[in-house]
Amino acid sequence: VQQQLAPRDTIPFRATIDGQVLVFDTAQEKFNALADAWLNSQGGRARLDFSHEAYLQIMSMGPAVIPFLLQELESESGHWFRALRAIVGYSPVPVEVRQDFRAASRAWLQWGQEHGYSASKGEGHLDATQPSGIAPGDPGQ
Amino acid sequence: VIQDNDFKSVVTPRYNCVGFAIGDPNWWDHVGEEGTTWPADLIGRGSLNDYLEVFQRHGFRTCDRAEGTVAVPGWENIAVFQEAGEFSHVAIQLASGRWISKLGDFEDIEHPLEPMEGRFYGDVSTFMKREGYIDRKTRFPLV
Repeated sequence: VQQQLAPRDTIPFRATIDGQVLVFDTAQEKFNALADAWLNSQGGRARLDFSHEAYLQIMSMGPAVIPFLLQELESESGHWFRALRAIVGYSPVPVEVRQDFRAASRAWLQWGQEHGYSASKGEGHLDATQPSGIAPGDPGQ
Repeated sequence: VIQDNDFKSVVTPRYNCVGFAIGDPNWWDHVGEEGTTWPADLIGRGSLNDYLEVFQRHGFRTCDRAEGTVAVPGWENIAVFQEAGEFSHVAIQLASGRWISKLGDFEDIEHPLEPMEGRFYGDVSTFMKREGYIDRKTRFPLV
């Protein structure tokens, strides 16, 4: 028996947070819930935990969350560099400033502008001016 | 010794308690990630001893609890916390004898040592001290 797969855009956005499976209407809502879960887990801690389930789920959401991640960087909510690099496949941050949080943020935000991504709190989107946000073999590597 | 009310840190992921303690406004973490800093030869090494080595490289030397809890002008004392054998937190002593520390990406708080021990960050593993004073007001961005 061949199972009929649901069209991609009708599959609800699910996430597992604190052991509970939650369903969201949009990628933005799912991202926000996961980002809050990760930031809450890090609150007050001196050491970053990128293996936290919420952070891993954010990375697994792929390019759709790039605008949200850039917005989080812009507002300095936390350390989102690893998620961006994992999704994009490389980093645009110059080696000489990679340890500087603000300089690294600026490099990513500039990369976002150059590749048609807006740091947006609203619906995540790709600017129409650039057909593709991530270009294979991008010279920014 | 940091004077009471001398400096307040801000809510920011740009620096953590380690950066606040050593006087370098960066997020000190062994993960080797963008937006964090760590000695190149210790990247990926985040044991308690590795953190103690970082403090040593910034002029701190280990002392006993009696010496490390007496605020002396011209010296900075830090208390390094461990939880389950791993580094968890570091606090700096104020001139009043109380302690101040930045809580992750939250701002710093002033506190005695005891409530922090055993409740939030495990126990103090090591007291350290260094001669000198860092003016955090000029080193740490407030916005």
